[in-house]
Amino acid sequence: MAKAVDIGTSFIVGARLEDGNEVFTVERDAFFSMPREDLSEELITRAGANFLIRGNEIFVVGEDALKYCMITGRHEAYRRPMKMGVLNPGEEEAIPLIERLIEGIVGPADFPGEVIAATIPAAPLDTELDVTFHKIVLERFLKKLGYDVRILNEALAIIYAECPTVDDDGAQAPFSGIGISFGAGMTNLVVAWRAKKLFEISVARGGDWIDQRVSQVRNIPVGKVTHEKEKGLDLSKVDPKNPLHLGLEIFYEELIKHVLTEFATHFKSTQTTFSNPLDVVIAGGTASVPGFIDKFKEILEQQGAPVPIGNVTLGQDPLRTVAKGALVAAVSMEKKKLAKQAEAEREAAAQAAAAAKPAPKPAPKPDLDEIDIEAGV
Amino acid sequence: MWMVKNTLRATLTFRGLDLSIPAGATYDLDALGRERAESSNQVLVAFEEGYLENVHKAARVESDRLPTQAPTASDGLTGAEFEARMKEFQRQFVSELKTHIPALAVSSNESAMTKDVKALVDEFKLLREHFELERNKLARAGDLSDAEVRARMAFLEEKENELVKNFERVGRRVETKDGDVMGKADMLSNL
Ligand SMILES: Nc1ncnc2c1ncn2[C@@H]1O[C@H](COP(=O)(O)OP(=O)(O)OP(=O)(O)O)[C@@H](O)[C@H]1O
Ligand SMILES: [Mg+2]
Repeated sequence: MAKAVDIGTSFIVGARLEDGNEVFTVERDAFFSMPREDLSEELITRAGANFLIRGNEIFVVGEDALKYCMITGRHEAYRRPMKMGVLNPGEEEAIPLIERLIEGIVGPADFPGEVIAATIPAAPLDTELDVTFHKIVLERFLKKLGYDVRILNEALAIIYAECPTVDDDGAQAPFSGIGISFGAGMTNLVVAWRAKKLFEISVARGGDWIDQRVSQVRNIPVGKVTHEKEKGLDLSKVDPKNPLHLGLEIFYEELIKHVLTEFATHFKSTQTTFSNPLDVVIAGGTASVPGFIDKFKEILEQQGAPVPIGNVTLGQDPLRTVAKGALVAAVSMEKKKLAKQAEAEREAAAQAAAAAKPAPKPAPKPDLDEIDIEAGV
Repeated sequence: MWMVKNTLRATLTFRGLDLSIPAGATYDLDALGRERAESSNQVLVAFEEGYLENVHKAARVESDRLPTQAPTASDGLTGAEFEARMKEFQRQFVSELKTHIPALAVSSNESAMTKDVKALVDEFKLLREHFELERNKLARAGDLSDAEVRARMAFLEEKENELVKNFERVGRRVETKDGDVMGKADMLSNL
């Protein structure tokens, strides 16, 4: 059965179905490096940690990285393979390590050609980031694990998970609306019509950007800002006497304004018009702070949007919505692929029967790899 | 009896003690002799790193490790008084802990996993320091009987393990039933 993986700047989330239940595996997108002699391999093996040896260095990956960082107290050895939504260009070791993490989460394909949907961001408007390189690296690696890889925009995945509908001349058009993922490294937006992506943009700003900006202007360590943001902030009742919360509110507003401005500017060029309102479905860790949706609506009201807007809602489970939507896509793609394959087999059998009357040869089984299925749904 | 559990997904081997505990298995460390087990550096490290976890540690019959104190008022406690004092200590310690480190003290907190690393590291250090402080206080406490000190030490150890373990569960598997992936996938295929 098909699988999905959402490879994010702070978390990697795997999704699959087991006995009809959705099972998510969440791992921290991070690693910890140390000289080989510092901590013996035996110790790490015994601890059951996920690790990799390259030259004279040992790399512990994922959640275990955090554990080792704590045991040894060496913060500088804690590193992240991704930055602003893509592979971290300043991190040479990023590729083998993120591969190890992904392998740990999805494992090898259950059968050759099993479909996996992996999410990536759209190329950001405001930075020169190489999304193509990121995409190729991940695609190649998942192929090596035996999968038939389908790459998906992460905001489109939100549309698949939440299924917003639009009134289309009295009928309901499913999977139509605006999806926005507010992650750690990036914010992605798509406009979808009947599951097809009509428009996409992304900006290289998200939770990390908010943390860094607030840390700069308030002169507070980033870690403290992040902690307060995730634990204490409520955008619906910001204490005017709390400078940290005020700072967070300001940059939350900046982020939303920036995204809506870019949306308005770039959507014009598509020359698409909608007469009926589109619903907005939002997900991602950054959107899970209380009061986010009201803040978003407030700014939307002030700035307006290039299309008529209906309801604005938060995904059921904002940190896992993208992975869940990718799983919906993967299951559907695999279904289509198997149906196509069955049809090809039937046709081949019929042809063989017509050609050789007395003893029809068994139809050759089509090779999985040769069936071409569109990447989109 | 001193039952411990190997919390790892791997066999835990204590070379010097000639002891192996399979992954997830429990073992009575008293089989080695309490003295030997307690003074073993390997056992100590295994606890510190969270590889071993206390399941049950029975109080020792005779105590030779804690400094014997001059008889104090608390020596003559009834069982009920002992209990009440212990409860009060537990309540106070836990509430203190919660004000110091609210995030770690709340168990199974979903968003604990999204916390920034540095903040976690700092908190974790604070947490350990707090336990250490309390232990030192107990060791020096003149108004407590040996039995009380031991009971409180055991409580601290149990609590510490609980919190450390709570922290270690951070990266994990989540199962949900409700989300209709199949239904939506069908809808998507039929478009
Ligand atoms: N309760 C919360 N309140 C505010 N922010 C939160 C909360 N929980 C998580 N975050 C923030 O959400 C971000 C992580 O979100 P998410 O897992 O969606 O990102 P990602 O997928 O790893 O990143 P990206 O998609 O940008 O590559 C972090 O910046 C984190 O600080
Ligand atoms: Mg994401």
